[in-house]
Amino acid sequence: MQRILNNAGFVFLLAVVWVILNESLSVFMILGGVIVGIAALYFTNRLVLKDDYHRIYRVRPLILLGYSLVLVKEIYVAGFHAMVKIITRKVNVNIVEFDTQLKDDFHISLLANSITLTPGTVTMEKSGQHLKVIWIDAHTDDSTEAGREIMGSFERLLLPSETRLGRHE
Amino acid sequence: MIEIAGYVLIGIGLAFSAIGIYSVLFYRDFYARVVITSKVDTMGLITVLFGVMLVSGSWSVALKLLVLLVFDLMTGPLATTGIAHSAYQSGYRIKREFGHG
Repeated sequence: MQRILNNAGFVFLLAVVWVILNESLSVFMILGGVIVGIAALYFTNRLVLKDDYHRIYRVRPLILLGYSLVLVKEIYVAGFHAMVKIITRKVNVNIVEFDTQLKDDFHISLLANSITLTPGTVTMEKSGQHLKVIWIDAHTDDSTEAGREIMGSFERLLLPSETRLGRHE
Repeated sequence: MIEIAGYVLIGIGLAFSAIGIYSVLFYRDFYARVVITSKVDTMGLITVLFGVMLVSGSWSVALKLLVLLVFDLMTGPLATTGIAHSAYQSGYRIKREFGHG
């Protein structure tokens, strides 16, 4: 029971997806979604993951929602910027390296994926807290400067989530 | 009215993709191409899908498209990162475009 409560957010998310896929909002469907969600999490825990689900994916669904809104906004802002550069042929492709302050592996992969999603930058390598990024508009070689410009807003969003969840248990 | 807005969004998304594909063919450097490709499949796809959501006019279809979009946003960057990483591992280095920059 305790483990179900620990994963309540994810079960809720899975139930929502279940209801959307079945296109009907009834009590029966919601209950079915919750049961399928719990079963899915249980089998993922038992068969796929080495640790508990909520200990590996230590992020709250609500934070993820806000994060994706910021992500879409960033994609458009960076996209128009990159598009102007591409059309006017003023690209300066280079590989920059920088460190992130995030410590949790899941958060770092989330950050790396966001960097890849943002037009103009593609994450190439991640080892520990060190990221190697292809940048289409590399106007600086300084690693802190490049890091601030590429991942600034994402890191700022993820840092509080990490410190609040902490390293409990 | 909403439908017209949807069609406009689809048009804008297709324009993004068209510019991206044209640039992929124009540039010579492999890494520039990778970056531009990732731009096409995020910006273009998001805009087109939002347009289709508006055109469809029903909640169930729109929410399904939203789920589709979320899954694409989660898996798309993995492919791009995989391609760039393996290129770097096999020794590709950056070529200068057009002799400047």
